[in-house]
Amino acid sequence: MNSKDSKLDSLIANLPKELTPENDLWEKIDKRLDAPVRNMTKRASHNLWRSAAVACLLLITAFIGQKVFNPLFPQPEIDSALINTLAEIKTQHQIQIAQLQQTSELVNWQSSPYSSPVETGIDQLREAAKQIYESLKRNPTDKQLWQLWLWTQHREIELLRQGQKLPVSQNSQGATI
Amino acid sequence: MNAQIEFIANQEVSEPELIEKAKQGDKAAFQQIYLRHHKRVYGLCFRLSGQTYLAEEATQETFVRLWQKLPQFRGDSQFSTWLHSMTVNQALSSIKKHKSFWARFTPMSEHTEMSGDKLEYEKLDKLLLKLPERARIVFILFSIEGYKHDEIAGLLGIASGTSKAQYHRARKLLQEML
Repeated sequence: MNSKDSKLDSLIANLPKELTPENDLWEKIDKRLDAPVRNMTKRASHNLWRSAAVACLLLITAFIGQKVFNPLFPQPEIDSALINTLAEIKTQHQIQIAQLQQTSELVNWQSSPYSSPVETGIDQLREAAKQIYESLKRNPTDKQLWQLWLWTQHREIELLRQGQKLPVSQNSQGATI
Repeated sequence: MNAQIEFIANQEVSEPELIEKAKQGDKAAFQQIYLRHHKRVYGLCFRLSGQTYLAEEATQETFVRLWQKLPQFRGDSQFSTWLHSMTVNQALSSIKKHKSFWARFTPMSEHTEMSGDKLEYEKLDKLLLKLPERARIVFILFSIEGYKHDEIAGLLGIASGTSKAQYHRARKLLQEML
């Protein structure tokens, strides 16, 4: 993993900042520079009014539709179901972590001289997972946040397991944590 | 011949002079600014968007906006820094705009694969195209463009911790691909 890490760093360092576009873009840009800004603003404001009208129409339709077909507003229920699922997954994950930590106490992996980076990594992951969890509670339908949150949990377990496999220091002279 | 002489003469003009001329509406001076910076702008747009047509669109939009906003440039910061920040904002806005319409109907991988196979980009560029969108954007801004996590969080409207997690995820995925 270490060699891959340095290989990645070297690829980043050697990456050229410039790329040449396939097509000549100047011609199209040049044409657009001739368009007076005032006209563009007028057109933009016209578009704004049109968008606002469409948005109002959609809102009214949605409101009526909601009233007629779904008077109970199920959306918050979906959100609360997702938040419940979120809490359940979090609890399950904490149980799994507790079990893993119980095992780690038996093998005493913290006494390994290599354990410090692993512990730091786990702490950072937990902090990130906490922030993502809070964001998810506010926005439980964000698929990418879900993926990221599940990934942090998966990675935390992975790191804990890796930590347990680290060689234990032999000269601890009876010191226990 | 005259055009060649004019081109060589423009090459020798300093950037502040070109900016001043472009501010007065000199399109030839603005073209010189474009020629000096378009590859850097396009490179940034391509890496952030992961798609050729979106990168071209964002590059065009950036230069049109630059033309409109150039009179506001007072020289307090470096021109390249100002343009860089404008490019990042424009690229992110193009990605968002595109995503809200077409991304719902067409899978991202179709365009991504086409872009990667068609062009002779660096190995890392090809790998970057395989990353999930948000992880890729965070990785590029942090590792390649030197932004801080707080700045990325502000740009993307996410928490700083989320940015860090996305970065580590992207790094791990790239290491697995190597």
